[in-house]
Amino acid sequence: MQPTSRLRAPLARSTLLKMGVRIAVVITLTTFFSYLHILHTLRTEALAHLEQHVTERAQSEQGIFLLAEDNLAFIKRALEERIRALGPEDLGPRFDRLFVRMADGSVRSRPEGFDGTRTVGVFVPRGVKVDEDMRRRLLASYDVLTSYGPAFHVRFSDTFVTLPEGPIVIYWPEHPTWIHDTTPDFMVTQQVYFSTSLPENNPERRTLWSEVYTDEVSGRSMSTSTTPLDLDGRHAASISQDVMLEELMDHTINDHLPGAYNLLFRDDGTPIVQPPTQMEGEHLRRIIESVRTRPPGVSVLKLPEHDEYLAVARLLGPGWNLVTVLPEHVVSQPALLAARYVLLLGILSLVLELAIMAWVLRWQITRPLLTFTQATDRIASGEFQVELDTSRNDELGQLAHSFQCMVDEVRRREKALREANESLEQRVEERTRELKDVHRQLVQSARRAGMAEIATNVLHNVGNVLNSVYTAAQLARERMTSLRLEHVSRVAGMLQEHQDDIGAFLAQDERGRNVLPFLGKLGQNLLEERKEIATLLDDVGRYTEHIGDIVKVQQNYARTPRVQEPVHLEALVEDALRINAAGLTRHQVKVVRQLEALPPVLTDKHKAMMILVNLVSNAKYAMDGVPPVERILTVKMERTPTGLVRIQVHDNGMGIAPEMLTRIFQYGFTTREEGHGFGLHSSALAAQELGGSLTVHSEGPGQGATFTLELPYASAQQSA
Amino acid sequence: MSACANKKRVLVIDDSEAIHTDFRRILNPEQRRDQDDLDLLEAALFGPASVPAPALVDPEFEVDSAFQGQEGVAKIREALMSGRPYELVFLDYRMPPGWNGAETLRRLRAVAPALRVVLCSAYSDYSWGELLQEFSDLQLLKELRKPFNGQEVRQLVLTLTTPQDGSCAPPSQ
Repeated sequence: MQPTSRLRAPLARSTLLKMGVRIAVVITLTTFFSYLHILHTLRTEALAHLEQHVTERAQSEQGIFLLAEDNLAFIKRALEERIRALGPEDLGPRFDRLFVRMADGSVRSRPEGFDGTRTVGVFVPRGVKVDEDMRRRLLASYDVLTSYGPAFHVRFSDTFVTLPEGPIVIYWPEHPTWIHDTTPDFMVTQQVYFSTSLPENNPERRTLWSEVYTDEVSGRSMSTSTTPLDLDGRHAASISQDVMLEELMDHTINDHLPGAYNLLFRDDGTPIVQPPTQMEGEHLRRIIESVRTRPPGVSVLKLPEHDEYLAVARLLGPGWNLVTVLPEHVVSQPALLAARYVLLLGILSLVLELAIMAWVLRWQITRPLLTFTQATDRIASGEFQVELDTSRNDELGQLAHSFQCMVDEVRRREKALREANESLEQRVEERTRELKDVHRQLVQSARRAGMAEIATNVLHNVGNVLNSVYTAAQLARERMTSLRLEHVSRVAGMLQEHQDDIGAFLAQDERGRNVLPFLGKLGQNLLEERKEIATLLDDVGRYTEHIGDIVKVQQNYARTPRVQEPVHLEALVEDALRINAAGLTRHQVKVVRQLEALPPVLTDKHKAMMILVNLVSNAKYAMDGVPPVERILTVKMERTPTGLVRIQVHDNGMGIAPEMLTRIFQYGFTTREEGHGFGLHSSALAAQELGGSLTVHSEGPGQGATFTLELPYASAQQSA
Repeated sequence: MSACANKKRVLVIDDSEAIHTDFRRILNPEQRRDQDDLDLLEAALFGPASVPAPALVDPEFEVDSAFQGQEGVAKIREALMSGRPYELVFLDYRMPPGWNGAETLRRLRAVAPALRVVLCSAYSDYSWGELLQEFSDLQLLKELRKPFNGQEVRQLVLTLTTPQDGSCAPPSQ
């Protein structure tokens, strides 16, 4: 007996399951909200960081450009001063000592002793007229660059002055020989950067930056800053410095926030630096467009189409836009990661919690409950020695205590019950035996009662008929006794007396005259008397025969032992009607027969007879309430498709109330004063004994009733 | 003619026709036709002494029939009203479908408390003791078992219809 081992839903498991589910829901919600929170925080932080980064970057990157502008402004002032300060001596011999017209027609620094790495070079293209003013400007430029060029070289690769006519004065240590290598027709003024200093292009005379270009000589990417110098309302010179952009580009491309990338472009949308990775033109265009059209003062904006954040800063100097692009996923990734951590930790804590709880449940609840279950099993199997831990102060301790009390009580009752049971079994046995006896007696009584119904009828009928037999016989005897036969011998004696004169005696004697008339009358009287007696004796014969009939019918059914025999059911029905004939006639009941001709069947003739007699008798009484002319008893016999013989006795009498339909077969049930209630009871029993059934049907009081006797159809011929 | 002396009224209540015939045969034998002629001739022939005279002793009975208890009680009431009450009633016990003997007797007693009743039945399915307990007057209630013989009945009728005090009023003229 192990009912405890296979529970479909143990308490601990279902509790853990429920708790687990709830905690899991809480963890999920926590994870979700922490994700949202972290995402928000990270985004705010990231955007602030982004803005700061781009601003700082812009400040650090723009330094070189501002420095260049400051340098140019300084040189411009110095150059102006120098131009005004130069005297004639300088313009003559000193100029010539330094510069010489070359064979190709151009004027360049004297090659002998020229060290381009340290010395400022001068180049005047072929065909340019070198007048005094130009000499002054060239020399002043030479002097100024010689003084300051090396100092600037720390940050700038070169510093040079261009005259609008075409000459160039340059300090460029990286290419010391360029001044001698360049072709004599090289015109600096044709270069892009120079055009920005022309008055028509720069009416405000500001320092301007060229766009990015690749230097023909060095092959490096650069931008040139140029400041025009006007003297006496005339464009005298342009001072320029090149800023190598490799570094800036390098910074812009490589020095970026994790996951972000940088862009540099001019206000007109021309890109200066763009990430080396393949980028759609459309994407780039959209970024530039949204930066250009942003409201003033806004430095951080979102590009929803590409899920990106943009931070914008302006490089003072060239006025370029430095943009850092931060994809959204860079921000959300850490949030997601953090949320994952939260989730992981939650699940871990859940598992831990469940494990602990499982352990607690197991030791605090399941184990004690198992003990209880085992105790219950032991009690169920009749063993009342159970040890439970009643020392606990909690509910289980209380339960154990109650359980112990219950066990004691059960043990006490069980003992009492067993004792009672033992005597009870004995009593039941006795009662059963008694009941069996009573039942047997009852069956016998019922059977006898059924027979008594027949006997009553027979005795009553026989008694009545016998009465008539007695009476008729007695009268006949009295008549016989009172016959005046003795007169015949007396008359004969008288005639013998007067034998001799018989004629006279008969004719003349007073007495004798009466003899003949007396004889005549006597004869007549005797004949009449004989006739009367004969009538009486006929009656006696008839009545006796009647009794014989009744007795014969009775004999047919009173034989024992009762065994199955071939029975003509049709004749049996007729006999049953005949036994009741007197009553039926007296009650003026009209009998209708609908009897199907059947071969003899094997059955207990007596029982079947008893049932039929009872049914007919009952039907007869049931119609007492009906006017005599309407009393109709219908007896119907037929074979059913189910292989039974069905005999129905139908009356149109008082009917049976529905609640009586079941009671009607009960022992002792009767509606008649003289009834003993055995008839239908014993009939139903007999029908069962015959292997058939007796049922009743009635539509209700006043609707008549139909009793149906069904018997097995066992053809006598087949079994014989 | 004395109705009192010679025409004692007897009522038979029984559901069987044959029983009524029996009672009539016993109590009301047919008048022999030519009896008087034959008697006169006999007297003339053999002398008056030889003529037996039993007819003088036998009173005549008027036998009435009722086939159910109800009918019987009605006839008793009717006879009382007409001033010619029955002196004796033969009552059958089993008379389905109507009242049985006991029931009829109960009703009958309500109408005629002093009427003598002979209860007769072919089959004793009633308790005589119980009936006697209910109708305690033994003088008024007798039992007759079927089948009975004529002599017994005649004797019973004679005994019961002869007034105890012998006072039978002569017919008032």
